[in-house]
Parts: sequence; C-alpha cells; structure tokens
Amino acid sequence: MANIMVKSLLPQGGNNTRKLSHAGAARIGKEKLYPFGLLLILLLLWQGVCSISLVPAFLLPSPLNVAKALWLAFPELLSHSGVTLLESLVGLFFGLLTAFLLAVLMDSSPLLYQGIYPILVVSQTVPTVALAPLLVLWLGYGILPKIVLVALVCFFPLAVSLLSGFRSIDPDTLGLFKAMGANSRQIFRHLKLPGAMPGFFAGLRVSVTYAIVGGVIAEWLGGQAGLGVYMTRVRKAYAYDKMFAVIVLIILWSLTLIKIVDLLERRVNRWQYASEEKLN
Amino acid sequence: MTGQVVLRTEQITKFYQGVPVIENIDLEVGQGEIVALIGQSGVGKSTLFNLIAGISRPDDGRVWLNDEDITAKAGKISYMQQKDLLLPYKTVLENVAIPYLLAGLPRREALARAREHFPRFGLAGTQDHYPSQLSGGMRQRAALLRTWLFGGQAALLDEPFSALDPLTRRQMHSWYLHLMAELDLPSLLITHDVNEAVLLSDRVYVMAGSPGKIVFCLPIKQKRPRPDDFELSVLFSQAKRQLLEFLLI
Repeated sequence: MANIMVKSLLPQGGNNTRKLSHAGAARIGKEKLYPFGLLLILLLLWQGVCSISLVPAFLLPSPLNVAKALWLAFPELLSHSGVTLLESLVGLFFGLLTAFLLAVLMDSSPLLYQGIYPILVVSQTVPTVALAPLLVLWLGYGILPKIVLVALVCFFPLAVSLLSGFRSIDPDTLGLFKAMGANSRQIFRHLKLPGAMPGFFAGLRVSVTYAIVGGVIAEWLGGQAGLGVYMTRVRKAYAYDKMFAVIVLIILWSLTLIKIVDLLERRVNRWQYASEEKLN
Repeated sequence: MTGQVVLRTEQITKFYQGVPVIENIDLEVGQGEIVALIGQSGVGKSTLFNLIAGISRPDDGRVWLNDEDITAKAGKISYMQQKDLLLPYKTVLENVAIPYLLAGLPRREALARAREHFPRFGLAGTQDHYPSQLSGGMRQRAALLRTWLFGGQAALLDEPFSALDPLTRRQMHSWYLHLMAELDLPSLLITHDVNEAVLLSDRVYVMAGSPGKIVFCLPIKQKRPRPDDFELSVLFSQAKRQLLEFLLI
C-alpha cells in the first residue's frame, strides 16, 4: 500500500523539461527583427540625406564614411580601446568592491542604514562632469583619476541593487533559518546573497555602460591614450567621420560588456531560466 | 500516552502589547506520537509554535525537550510551515540539504547524505530540479524531508497540508501516516481541519478563547497504522462530533 501510494506520486516517465526551448528561440528571433529593421531604415535615411548633400559632408558624415573611417583607424582605435577598457574594468571592480562592502555594512545595522542612505542618494546629484576636472587636479593626468571616476559612477547602482536585495528576504524563510539555528553568516550566505543576485545583475548591467562612458569622459580632460583622448584629438582636427567612428566603437564595447553580463547572469541565476514546465 | 514524554510545554503565557494572546498552555507529545492542535484562526496557534520553536520567548512558562529546558532556544526542534519555504535559486537537493549545511557539514557530504533519503520521501528523480518545477504536493514533501533531516527529536508542523488541493491533501495524509510509521518522529501538528486532526493524530488538543487556552484534549483510540476506511467509522465521527462541540461555541 505504501509503495503504491508513493509510486503514484512520482513523476511519470522521463522528464521532458526542454520542450519549450525551440518555440522560445523562434519568438526571440522575430522580436529582434523589428529593432534591426527600424535601425536599417534609419541608416538608409541618413545615408540618403548625406548622398543628396542636404547637410555639408564635414558636419554630418554619411554612415558609409563612418564605416570607412572605422575600418581605416581600426588598429589605432583598438590600442586606444585597450586603455579605456582597462580603466573601465578596474574602476568597475573597485566600484563593485566598495558597493558590496558598504551594502553589507548598511544591511548589518539599521542605524548605519538610516544614517548613510540619504547621504548616498544626495551624493548622486553631484554631476560627474564637474567632478572629473577636480579629480585630474588632485590625482594628475595618469590612469588613477580615470579609475576613480569610473568607480564613483558605477558604485551607486551596484550599492542600491545589492542593498535592496539584502533587505528584501522573506521574513518566513528567515524565521525558518533561525529556527534551524542558522547564524548571521549562514543567513547571509544562503539567503541574502543569492536572493540579491537578480537585482544585482540589473544594477551591473547599468554599471558596465556607465563604466565605459565614465572612462571616456575622464579621458577628455587629458591623458596619453584612450578613446576619450582620441575623441578630443579628432574633434580638434574637425575629423567628424572619425568622431562618429569612435562613438560607434563605444556603443559596440558597451553592448559587448552587457552581453558578457547577460551570459554571467545566465550562469549565476540558472534557476530563473529553468523550464517553467512542472513535473507531475 | 505511549511511553515517555518528549516535548512538553509548562504553563506558557505570551503577551502582545500588554494583552495576553495565549495563557497557561500545557501540552505534551510522547515518544512516537502525533499530536494535533486545533483551533480557529487567530487563537494563537502560530504564536505558540514560535514559542516552542524557540524563535520568541514566552512571558511565563517553560518548554521542555526530554529533560532539557529549551525555552527561547532555537535550533532544537524541527519546524515546518504551511508555505514550503524552499529557496527558488537552489535545487531541490540543495534545499533539502540545508540543515546539514547549517550544521557545518562539507557541501559534498551534505548533498550525498541528503540524496540518500529522496526515494523514501517519494522524491526520486527530482534532486536536480528547481522547486518551481515541482507540484505543490512534491514541494511539501521536500519541505518535510528538509524538516526531518534537521534531526530534531520532535517536529512542529504548522498547517503543513492546508495549502494543497483536497485530492493532493488526501494523498499526502496517507503518505504522511506511512512515513511516520517508519520515522517514529514525535510530531505536533497545527491544523484547522477537524478531519485532518482526527485522521492523523493520536491525540487532539483544542485551543479556544481569547486569550487562547487549551479547552479540551481528546485521545483518538484507533491504533496506527489505521484502516483505509477509518474516516467512515463510528469512532471517527464520534471524535469529530466531540471536537466540533468545542470549536463551534
């Protein structure tokens, strides 16, 4: 009797959890078609405007000219990209480190939370562009002010997303863990940290684009190499086709970083991508 | 009472904002016993549970586990709620192994030891799935396995089956009784379902009033394992009638 009862409740047959994936892939393909199509139309319009010389070529280079500039300057741009990416990633790392430590600290004490949080929000109204010259003044023309600026702009979305994740754990689950005698380190390890991951990745996705832009802005104010430095040079030379080429490249780097974050998230938050289909 | 008392509350009283919520609660769970606690919503059952689980401290009275005073000591008794509280980001195996991990076992060993119990709980094949992929009944069984692996000498079950649909609940009742016959885990079961209380338990406490008090205690004399048609017997309906008299005042 017991066996029959238990067996009848077991999943029947093999698990067919991957059934939905094909239909999903087809749908995503169609979703991507619309924005790419629209983008293509806009590019064609732009090219058309330039081809019939509605706007002087030196003010607005055509997409084909931009592509050509990108192609010709590519080796040079690549070495500048290396510098900017290094600043961005190192800055992002330190921004993340600070955000994590501060979020843990603020989560551990209501007093610290109430004290620091409003200051944190107000600090975000300080314009980054105004900070950059000061950082150069204090830290020189080397790589350091760039890293500091990137860390400053990345810090906020990361700190807020981590903190709200830590603070949103389910009280019943917390009660269960306490009833099982979990200490605060274990509660952090098993509840707070994994629970904060979905929000954290939303923050990280914003931060990586901030990181690149932050690095470029910091480079405008001086330096030996980097996409921002290159941008300033070509602007002074009125080479707007190269200017546009850098912009395109910055967009491509941002998209690449976002893609890397997405892939990372798929690994970390694997459960969210597990099939919705239920076992029997 | 079969054998020795495992879990005992002694004159437990708890105030909330100066008003008594529960008053002078005395109850006992013996070795191998399933004891039900029944009462209407808001009578203080869950308050009592948190006190027994050691999550909160009573204003008066003590909780005893065998001869140990466990008043306001968490981590002594296994504990299960109406919600399964499985973590969505851990696989079923990782969820179930949590008590072992909290006890400080290395991850590999914790998972291996938890895995051994899956067939017995009717969960074979679900180890590497996520809780969202399981049905309600299976999730509750996983929660019960986690409760059991916690290894307390007694278990508190707070309306464990009440979120399930009626058919699944029946299956779970039958499964639970067979499992309990094997595990021999003294259990205190909170419920507001009279049928469930009579069907599953050896003794039923009725809690009523404001502040909540134990107003009645009824032994269910049918030995376990019980016949499949126990629910249709005279003994069952007599017990149910007696309990309802106290509940429907």
